[in-house]
Order: sequence, then structure tokens, then C-alpha cells
Amino acid sequence: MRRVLVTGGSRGIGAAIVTAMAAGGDRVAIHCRAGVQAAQALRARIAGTGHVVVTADLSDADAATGLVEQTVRALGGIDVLVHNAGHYEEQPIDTTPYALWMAGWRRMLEVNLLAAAALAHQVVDHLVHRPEGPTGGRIVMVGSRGAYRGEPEATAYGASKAGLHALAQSLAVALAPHGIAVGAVAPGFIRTEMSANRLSGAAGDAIRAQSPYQRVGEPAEVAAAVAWLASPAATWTTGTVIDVNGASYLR
Amino acid sequence: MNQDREPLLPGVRLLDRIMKANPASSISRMDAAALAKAQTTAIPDRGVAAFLLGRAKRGVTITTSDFPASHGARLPLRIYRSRDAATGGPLVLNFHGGGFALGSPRMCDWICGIVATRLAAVVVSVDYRLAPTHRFPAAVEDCYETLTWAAEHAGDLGGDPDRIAVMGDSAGANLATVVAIMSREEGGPRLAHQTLIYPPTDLTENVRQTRSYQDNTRSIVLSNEDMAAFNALYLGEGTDARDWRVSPAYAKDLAGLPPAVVVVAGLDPLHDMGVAYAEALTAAGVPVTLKDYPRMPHGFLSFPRLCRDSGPATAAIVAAQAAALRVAAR
Repeated sequence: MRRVLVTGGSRGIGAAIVTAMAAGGDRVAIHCRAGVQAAQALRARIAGTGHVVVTADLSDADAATGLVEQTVRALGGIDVLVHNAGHYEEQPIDTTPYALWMAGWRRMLEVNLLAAAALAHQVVDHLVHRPEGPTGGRIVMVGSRGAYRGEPEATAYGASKAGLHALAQSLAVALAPHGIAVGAVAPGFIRTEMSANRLSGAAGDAIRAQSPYQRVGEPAEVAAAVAWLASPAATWTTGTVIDVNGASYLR
Repeated sequence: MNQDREPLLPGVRLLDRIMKANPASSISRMDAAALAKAQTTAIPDRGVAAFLLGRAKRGVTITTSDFPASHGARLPLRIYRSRDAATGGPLVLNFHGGGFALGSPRMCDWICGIVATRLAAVVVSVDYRLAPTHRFPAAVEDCYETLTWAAEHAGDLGGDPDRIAVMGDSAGANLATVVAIMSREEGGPRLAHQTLIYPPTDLTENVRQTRSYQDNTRSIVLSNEDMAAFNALYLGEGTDARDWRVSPAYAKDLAGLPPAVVVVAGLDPLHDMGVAYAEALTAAGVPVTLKDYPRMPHGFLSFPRLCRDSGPATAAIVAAQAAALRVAAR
């Protein structure tokens, strides 16, 4: 039975990943920033037993250290890291004052990229030094279509996710000697509670029309790709970034 | 942006015509009797005003209540709940706009209803005392007392005392951020978020130096004369407009204030001071989301049927509140 840490796991895509991993027989640490009610409700709902809720505020990437310690203590170890937590802000370059622009850039880079690097470091440290060795470890990053397609309203988000993809690819090479496979997914627009308001009205129609399926993605569709990248079968695919966007953007 | 050359959106042009045709919509053209009448006239449930302001969504339960304020009378409250929400959701206090001299909680039914349903929150809107009968600091005191009272009675209201936010539009945004600073100063309830919709953060003459004031030649919804008239009614003789409780832009330190979403409109004399306040909060280390709607006038969120950006702006507000109040927006 594998032990999986899913950051940002209490809602949206993260909750779907938690659900999928638990359904596959894994024990999951559901990370959330604060307000553990949703995470605890999710834990009660998913398949299997032995799941835990862990908290950390990743707006400071150094909080990753405590988060990994917390998870190792609660689950007895970590085999799979899924970094799904992310921060999104719209700040158009032509109307956002410089100070706000830079503060937003720092916030998004901290959670989306620096926290990923910090978590990867701590999890690799754990994997390499555990008695059974690192082989079989998996790291999956939840990136974004925006890294390729552009995020005109949220440039820092797009750039941070492009950085996250590159981080996953570099780690794939660096960690191959340890038998740790690393991958990423790049979801397009996904129907979550947080995106619900953008999907109503005419703007919603335009978003749905981005895909030839005339709809947006479901969290479970992202979770399926993540579950694959985390599986023992996904060795030779290490370093890949899987598009999960309904052909709304091809590269 | 050069406001004179930018064509108005059709809805905004219609709003401008309606407002200019109605002398009761401009404070600078009202005498004392007209003001008194405006203050005591309830907004009817039907008619042009009700249509323009929009209604609360279906699924919102609106109740009225009051609490005993320290000035001796009871302060009326208008409370919004989602019909299907469990108790224990966040508590959002709303302060209406109207230049400290006009307006009532009824004006905010549309946005308060949206916040209540989307966040599964209890929204409490207070009918604070208005100028010039009750000048500064009456409104500030009433709003701060509403906060402390609501925090103490969060359980009775069905809200979570650990997740309280303030929001306000125009004069109400001034009151919201003043209350946030006051709560920090006095060790009052700890706020999780502040929503500041076109906030007047500087009531001094310095507004005349800003470009958005100088460019406000078309006077859509709010003319520069209206602004001066409102300030005169609110402050009266001898009040220092540099007092941070009047002009939060002059607060010595904004550090430690709750995360903010600041909404500004391009066709608004208050645009630049809203941006400047967002910058000052950012410099103090407060996380700020700034939403700038260049083609909207002052007050556009009160006119959802005519102002096309009121929907996106409301969505941005709800998203910011949801993140800070740790709820999944519905």
C-alpha cells in the first residue's frame, strides 16, 4: 500500500486526485492550507482507511519542510508526491501598478514553483534515506495549459506553471538513477467550485468552445492522468507533461 | 485613459441619462428638504430604482433585525442568508454607499444576496446613521459597533466568529477599511478579509491633484461637485480630514490589515485614490487583488442591469472572499 501526499487536496482537482488515489488502494495525506472541515469531510468520503489530513500554508515555501515531516509521521512514509496546490491571481499588466504586480508575482511563484521545489527536495531526501531505498518513488506536478497557451490576465501564473513543467522534466533526469519517475499534467479549463462563476453566461460559452467537445474538463479527468503518472507502470514516461485539455490547445 | 474620447458603453450611457434626468440623484443639486426626503424615502419594491438596483437572487432569505447601540437607539440590520446553507459559514458585514448622507442597506440587495449564496455566508448590512444629522464619527462608530456586536453574536446569527469579513461600496468601502484599521488598533475582532469597492480613501483637498478627478468632466453617477457636497455634509466645520478615521489613506501604518480586494472604475473621480490605497496596502505587506474596470462609472455594481462589468466584478469579489474565508464558492 503506497503513501501519497496530495497538496491542495481538499477541493477541486486536488480532491479528485485524492479520491482517485484512495480508490486505487493508496493511503492519502490530504493537505490543505487551513479550515480542515472540507478535508475531513473528504477523508470520510473516500475509499479505504488510514487517510490523514495535514495542514501547511505554502504561501511560504519553507512550510514544505514541516508538511513533509508531518506526513511522514502520520503515514509512516511517503511514496508519491502530488503537488497540486496553486495560487491564481489576475493582474493585467496595463492596469496593475508596479508594486501590486511584483507582490502578485512573488505570491504565485512562491506557491506554484518554490513550494514545488521545496517539497520535491524534502520528499527526495526522505525517499533516498528510507531503509527500503527510493525506487518506486513518484513525483507528479499539476501544471497548466496556460504555460503553453499563455495567460494574458495572469502572466505570473502561466510563467510559474511553465517553470513547474521544467522543474518536473529536470527532476525526471536527475532522479532516474534513483528509480524515481517524475511527470506533470497540464490541464485546460476544469469545472471546479472556484471556476464556476466564470463558466456562467456568454463567457462560459466561449470557454467551452475552446474544445471541439464543447465542454470543459472534469476534475476526475485530470485525476486519471495523475493516477497514471503515479503508477508503477509509468517509468518510461518519466519527464512527460500530459495535456489534459480536450484538444483545446495542441502543441 | 482619456475619458473624453472613450465612447460610453450603451448601458452606461443610459444610466448617465437616467441619473442626470433625476435631480434627486445628485447631492450637489439637493436642498436640505430634498435631502431629508431622500433619506426617509424607502426604495419601493417596484419601479425604475428597484429595476436598476436589481433584486436579491432566488434562494436568499432576507430578514431584518436590530441591536442596541451605545448612542441609545437601536441600529437596524438587514441580514441575508442562503436558504439551503448550513450554519457556521463566514460572516460578512456590508456597509452601503451613498456619500455618508444617502442610501440604505436595500441598495445592496443584489450583491449581498450573491455573496450570501455563493459563500454560504451570513451577510449583515447595517443601516448606520447618516449625515448631516449625524456627522463623522457617527457612521464610523455605528459600523464598528456592528462589527463587535456581530462578532459577539456570531453564533446567534449562524456565522463563524473566526471568519469575519467586511465589505462596502463607495462611502461604505471607506467605512469598511476604517473599521478594519480600528479593529486592529483596539484589539477588536480579527478580520479575515476586506472588500473595498471604489473606496474614497482620501477626503482631503488632495483629491484635486489626481488625474481621475481632473479627468472627471462627464460626471457620470458622481460629479466632483457631488463629492465635495458629500464631504461637507459628513465632516462639517472643524473636522480634520487627515484623521485616518476620515481618510484611511493617512493611517500611519497599514501593516497587519486583512487581505483586500479593491475594485476601481475608470470613469470615477475616486479611481486613483483606490489604486493608491491598494499600493499602500501592498507596500505594508497586505495581499491585495486590484480589479480595474476602465469603462465603468462610479457605483457600477449598484446597477447590474446596465453595467456589464458588474457580473465579472462580483465574480472576482466572491473569488477573493472565498479564498480568504476558506470556502468553496458555489
